[in-house]
Amino acid sequence: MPENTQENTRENTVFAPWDDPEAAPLIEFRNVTKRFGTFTAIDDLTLDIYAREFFALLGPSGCGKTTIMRMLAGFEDPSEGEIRLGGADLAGVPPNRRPVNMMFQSYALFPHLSVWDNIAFGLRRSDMARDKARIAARVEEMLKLTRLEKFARRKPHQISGGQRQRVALARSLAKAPRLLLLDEPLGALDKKLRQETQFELMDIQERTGTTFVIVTHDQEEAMTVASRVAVMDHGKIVQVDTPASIYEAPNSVYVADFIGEINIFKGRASAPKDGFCEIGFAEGLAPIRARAPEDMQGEAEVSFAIRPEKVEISPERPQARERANAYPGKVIDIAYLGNISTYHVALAGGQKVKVQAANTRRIQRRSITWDQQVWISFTDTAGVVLTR
Amino acid sequence: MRRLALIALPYLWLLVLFLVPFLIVVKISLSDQALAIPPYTPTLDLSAGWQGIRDWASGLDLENYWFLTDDPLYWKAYLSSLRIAVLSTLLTLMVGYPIAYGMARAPDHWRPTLMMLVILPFWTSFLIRVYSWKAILSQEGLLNQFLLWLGVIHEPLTILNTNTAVYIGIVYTYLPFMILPIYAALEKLDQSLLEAAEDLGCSRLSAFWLITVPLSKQGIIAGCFLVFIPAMGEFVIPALLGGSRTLMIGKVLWEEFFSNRDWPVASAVAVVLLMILIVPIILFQRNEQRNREAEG
Ligand SMILES: Nc1ncnc2c1ncn2[C@@H]1O[C@H](COP(=O)(O)OP(=O)(O)OP(=O)(O)O)[C@@H](O)[C@H]1O
Ligand SMILES: [Mg+2]
Repeated sequence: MPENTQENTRENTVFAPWDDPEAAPLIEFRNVTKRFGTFTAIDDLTLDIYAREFFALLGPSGCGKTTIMRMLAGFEDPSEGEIRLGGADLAGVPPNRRPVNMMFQSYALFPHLSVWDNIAFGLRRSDMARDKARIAARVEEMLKLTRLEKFARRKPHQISGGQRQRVALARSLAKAPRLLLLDEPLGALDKKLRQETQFELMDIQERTGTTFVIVTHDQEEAMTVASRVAVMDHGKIVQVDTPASIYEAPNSVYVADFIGEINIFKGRASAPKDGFCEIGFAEGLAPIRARAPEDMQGEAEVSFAIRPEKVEISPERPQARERANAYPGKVIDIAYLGNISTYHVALAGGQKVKVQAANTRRIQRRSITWDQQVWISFTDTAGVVLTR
Repeated sequence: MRRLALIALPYLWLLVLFLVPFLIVVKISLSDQALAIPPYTPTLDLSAGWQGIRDWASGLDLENYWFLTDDPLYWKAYLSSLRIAVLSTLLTLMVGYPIAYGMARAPDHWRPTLMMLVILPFWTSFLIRVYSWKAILSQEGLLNQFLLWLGVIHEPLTILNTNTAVYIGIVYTYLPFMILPIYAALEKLDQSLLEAAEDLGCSRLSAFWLITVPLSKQGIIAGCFLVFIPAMGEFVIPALLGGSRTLMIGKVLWEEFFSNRDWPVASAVAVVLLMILIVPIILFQRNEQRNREAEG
């Protein structure tokens, strides 16, 4: 995962309309609340999504991802608030009049139609309707894209789950809508096909300029494909940011914990001095020195979060002076994952720390074994201090 | 052994309840009318042994079937029955489909109640229910009184003892047979399919034609057969609600049996009716079969 993030931090730094105060968003959620009976599925959501974005919604099951999609597609009306598309209020616009296509979480393939006819369904109801040749060409293109050529004549119940998912994807892509909603589009695909399709999606996105909103359970997927990620919890968006920022600078323990692996140290931070604070997290251990968040004033209960790969492990106390934080501990578990190893280290106070190290300097690493006394260390900028 | 018994059971059932009576009817249809008890010859005399069987067999012929083709009454009655059955099946479909649709779309907790209401009429005698339509449709009946009261009409309508009354009777009687299979098909229908259709550019109405109707096809076909097959041979409804000009094969059958006491001709009529119905019955079975395969 960390590799991915590094790699896919988009090179074209130009594309960041969310930082541009001039840019007009394609989709605007304005204080949108959605209630089902007494249950609040979406709670006062305000969110902008820009044209040509690949926007990922990430969050645990039941947090309201599908509900957001359904409001965009027009199947649910907000109980309160307003959703705008290209500046125009979407209220009262029926689904078939929105330039939006959705790939359903349940696929919703038409069981009585062949794969071919499923994909052609939307085209036959577009301005392309008269032009049989163009429809055929477009369907063939979609079949090729999703590698379904061989199954064109089959009915949905005669193909596998992964193939069905691809049909659903092809069907929603066929009309080349302005906004494409993908609700867990790749969940049923094997890893290899999933990665290929991810790149395919990004490619399509770049070629067509379509705006994508994608729901996924798979954070790696969100990190790979998305221009921005929204992390949700119980109908609220906790953080919206680029994958790299979400990973490197989570704004809360919830986000930090949700994305990737992380070590959390709970403790009391001293008042910041020169932008740094000291967090006492265990009796008898030196406090952690870390960069204080900008909005922090005075002492506070905080969580210090640090990724396992940002922690160094060594048999001896490290000498380097920039490693401001160093603690002795005992290795209680080692998980060898080929290119990397994860060490579980118990500190004196009982706090457990996960350390991830690339297996490059093999000999040296191998010297660390179970029950060995080791030192873990990290710099004062390696982690983040979270106040919520 | 147990498996054999299990397979044999339905066949035994079929043999006893269908095949044996059917063969008896076929046998009678090949006999001649006679003033006797039973009112036909020859009768099988098993005590005379082999000779008895041969005498009996030589007395059988297809005369009664030829007779059916001679008298235009019969083929006219078949045709008229066919017309009434087809038309009333279509009417039942037109009435039944919206009801089934409404039931399938109703909130979950309402459905058992609606289902009850549909099958509730079966709790009273069919005969009484059809009879009560006489009271509704007659010149001084409830319907005419109501329409006169509304001022829609000024003269009472003649509905009872016409084909219209027969259609009303058939639609009323067989409506549940239409509703239930269609409801079963519509209830299974995944609502997200309609959303997908709308998402892809369909209006509500075209989504209905392109998705709902094709996906309830099996239910429609089943319902139509379940109405058509009994309507074709219907006797009670035309007898009670129809007029002298209502010609249905069920009525002819009744008259041959009980008025003319011509059992052989009546049997021939019944056998031909069955032959006509066998085609849709087989089609129906095929449909059910395909249905199960598509689902399995
Ligand atoms: N029609 C509805 N009536 C009542 N509650 C609903 C309805 N639709 C959704 N909910 C509730 O709203 C919440 C959010 O649902 P939603 O489908 O948006 O979740 P999700 O984030 O897509 O979850 P998943 O990842 O499992 O697909 C859930 O708790 C769900 O039970
Ligand atoms: Mg969902």
